[in-house]
Amino acid sequence: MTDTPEFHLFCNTASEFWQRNLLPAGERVILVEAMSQDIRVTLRNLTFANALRRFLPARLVVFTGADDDWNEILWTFFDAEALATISRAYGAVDVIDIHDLVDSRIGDPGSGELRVAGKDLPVTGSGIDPAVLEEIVRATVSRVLKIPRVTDEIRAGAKYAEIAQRSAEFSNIYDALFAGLDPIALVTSHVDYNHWGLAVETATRFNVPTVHVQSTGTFKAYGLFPETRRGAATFRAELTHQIAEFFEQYVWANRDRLRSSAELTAWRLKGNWGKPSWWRGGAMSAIELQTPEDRLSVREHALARFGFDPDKPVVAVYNHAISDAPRTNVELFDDLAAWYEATAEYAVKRDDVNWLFIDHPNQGLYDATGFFDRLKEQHAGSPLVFLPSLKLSKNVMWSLVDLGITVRGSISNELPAFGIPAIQAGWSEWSHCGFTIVAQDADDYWAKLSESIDSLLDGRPLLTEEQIERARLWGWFYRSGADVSTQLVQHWEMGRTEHLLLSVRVAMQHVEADADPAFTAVRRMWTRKDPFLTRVDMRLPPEEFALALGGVSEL
Amino acid sequence: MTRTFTTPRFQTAFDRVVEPLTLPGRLTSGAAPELTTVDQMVRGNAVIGRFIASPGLLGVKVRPTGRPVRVTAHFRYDSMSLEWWEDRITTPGVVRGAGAPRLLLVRAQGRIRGAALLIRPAADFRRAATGVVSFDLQPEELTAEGLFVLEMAGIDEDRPEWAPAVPAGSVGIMMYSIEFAEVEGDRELGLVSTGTLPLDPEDGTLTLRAGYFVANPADNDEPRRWIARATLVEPLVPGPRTKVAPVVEPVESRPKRSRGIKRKIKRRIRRAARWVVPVAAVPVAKRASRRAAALERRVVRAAKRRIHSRSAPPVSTPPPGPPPGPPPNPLADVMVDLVDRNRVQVELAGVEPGATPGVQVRARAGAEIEIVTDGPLRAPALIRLSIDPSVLRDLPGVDDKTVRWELVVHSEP
Repeated sequence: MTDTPEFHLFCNTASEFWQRNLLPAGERVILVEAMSQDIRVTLRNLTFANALRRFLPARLVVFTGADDDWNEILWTFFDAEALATISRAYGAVDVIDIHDLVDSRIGDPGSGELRVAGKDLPVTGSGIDPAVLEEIVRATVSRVLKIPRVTDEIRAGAKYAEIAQRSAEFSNIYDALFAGLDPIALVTSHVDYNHWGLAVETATRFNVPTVHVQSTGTFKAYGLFPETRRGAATFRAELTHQIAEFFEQYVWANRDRLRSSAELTAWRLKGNWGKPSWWRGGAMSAIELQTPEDRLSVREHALARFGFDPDKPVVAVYNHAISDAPRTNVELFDDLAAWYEATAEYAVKRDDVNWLFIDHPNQGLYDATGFFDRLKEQHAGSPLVFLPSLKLSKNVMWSLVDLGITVRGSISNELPAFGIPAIQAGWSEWSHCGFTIVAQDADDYWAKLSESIDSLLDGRPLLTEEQIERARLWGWFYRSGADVSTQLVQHWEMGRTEHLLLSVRVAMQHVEADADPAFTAVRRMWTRKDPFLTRVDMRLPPEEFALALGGVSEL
Repeated sequence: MTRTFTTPRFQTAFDRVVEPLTLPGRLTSGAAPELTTVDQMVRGNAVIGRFIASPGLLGVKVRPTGRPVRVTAHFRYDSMSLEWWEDRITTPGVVRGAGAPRLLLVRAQGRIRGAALLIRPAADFRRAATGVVSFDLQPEELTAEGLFVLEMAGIDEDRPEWAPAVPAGSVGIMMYSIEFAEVEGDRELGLVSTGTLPLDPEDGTLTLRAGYFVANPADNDEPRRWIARATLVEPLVPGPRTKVAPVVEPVESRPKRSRGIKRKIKRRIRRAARWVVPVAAVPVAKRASRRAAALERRVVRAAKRRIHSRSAPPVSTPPPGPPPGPPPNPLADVMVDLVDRNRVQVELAGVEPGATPGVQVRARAGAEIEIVTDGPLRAPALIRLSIDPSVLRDLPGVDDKTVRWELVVHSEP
């Protein structure tokens, strides 16, 4: 796509467009990450940064690059040159390859200075807490090797040493950038692992607002401002609190006006309208069951398929992608695999329920150890059922599950939205919005699991009407309230295509920029230090709020 | 009724209100609103849809009447079934190919209701094989709130070795119609399945395409009785225009997209070619099915002729004239003797674990045998008929012919 004529037309148009849509550049900078191969990600980051530059005079400095590890595990077509081209079209004064810098500094320890955006920046070492650095190194090693945990053997190995050395150097360079460039903001698509996570870590220490742009929907971004931080352990943990507060204050409080919207989102969620719903696609991806009796009709077939006892409830345990961003969220167990193994151990002893262990649909990208299959083998003699995710269609899954267990999977939003309780063994964006059963620590997890199963067996409902409504409101908030609909990036589902470039080009060339939702939403978020972008001003008085939504509440 | 532990809330304010199908009614399209649920099935428009996995299921809103409901489901194994299956089942080493049987189990409301055997004909194999399963639902099995659920799966386990079939046989199978009606009299459709349904409904016999047939439970608790006739047939020798099933090589890996396009083009060419023989050779037949039956007979006759005059040029138009009368059946004279000597074997195997009735065989006039069970069939069963090949070889007039069994359908009680 980036080698097509359309790409160059797009870049030319973007360059012309942005020259006339920004304040004159000031002394300060905005640091923008461009380390994903997917141009949709960088497009979002750059658009966010430029939306800031409409009211904050600043220059754009983009950092890019990839290393062999990422090229091997994830990237298939990483093209730093194309990313640099689009960055310059969006007005970047400098594009630096951070991976190259790291490698050259490791190769030549004497090189003391960094020249970025016309400035010489001394590299004097990082102020990072060594324990935090080690945590990030371990997470990166897990992800790069696609293993659930870093054993002593791995820790003593060459790969660990290499990643540790490079990580320390990343942190040195990020500290130099933040100290020397005095950035207004860091805009990044990821907040985990060494090359992304250490930038966020540095930004946090330097009290620089950090924007986490999302690779889904149209234009979604979370923001963490130094003024609103409360000292939680990680970027994501900070946000969990702030999201919950905002949800309570502006979403839940507006539920009467949002009910109809939330119902519509729930309907679309069932039918796989409006991604993200990457759990599965195609002819097996819709929940078509309508009534509880529909569910029972399909359930008797589904129970028989797996040899389940019809007189026992079905508890589903959703495996996570086992090397996915360990410790960036709050987790109750040492690692994701430890949680899953321990839950399987527990399940063997609780034979008064049917257990369904479902693997993560993208596990192949995150696990090289055959973790799930090994666990399945280990429990071969038991009645526990282990299934690869895509062996299970949605209707069958939804006909079976009476209680779902996850750490932070999106299933813990979907299940309660359709009346089925979910336990979380860790935090997620929505974990404090009041519709899941969130355990405090490992002991509490076992206690809550045991209580929940007892309740199922005794016929005590685990979910209230209010919780179902909250879960549906979160569904609305995630897909609509916190997703800004702008032509300047287009929806994620437009794909990495020439159609995308053409659409954005038409927007820049033919649509006047006034009141573009990207611009109004970013400015609103920044002024109010909101934890995320919002599609409309959620603080409007009730009547105006309903109007701003476009009358969905009257449908 | 299945126990409830968690009551879900799937309904939203935006759900379509579905008007249930009323009796007598027929579901013939995947777009019908009363077909509320499909699972591992792709909806069609002119047909209900095709399964993409084994098992796959569909759910229909049917208005209960308080009386039993007779359900009759029609399905088909056609060229596209084969393509869909080849695209999805890439396991090496399994039974595969255009002529490989599909052995299917149908469940509804959680219970097994019948099985069917689908085999596409070796000659003129492009024609689809058709199957039907019919069963009665009791009033308590259908509720206004719930669904009628029909599930289809390939019978992959506990199959006798004489009943080979492709794994995951439901993949690609097209459901084209399901009828719902009041129960009137005993069921007649779907009690046996031999490979496909007769092209001519008035034809009283069903050819066993794989040497065995599927027997489904009947309405009463009586022992079962079937009559089968053995004939000797020439092995099929393909002529230049005989369309025989191609040998499909096992697929090593997932086929590339381009293969699908190539196949589409090939299929178009095939479709165009298909009409060359019938249009040129046959006056317009009143019924397509009769024409197809006549075609098959002619293909076989042509193959026979070719044996007698191998050097003769291919005949494009068969000579007109009355069809030859039935040839003498060498088996007619010896059937009593073969049965007496235990040279005619009848084996019965249930498709699910559980008790199966015993089975006895008696000879009848005209190379027919009567097969009788000593009790009712509670679940679908596979019944294999065979004549000891060593005694066949000694019979005069057998030569290289093989035994073909035909089930005489009228005799089903």
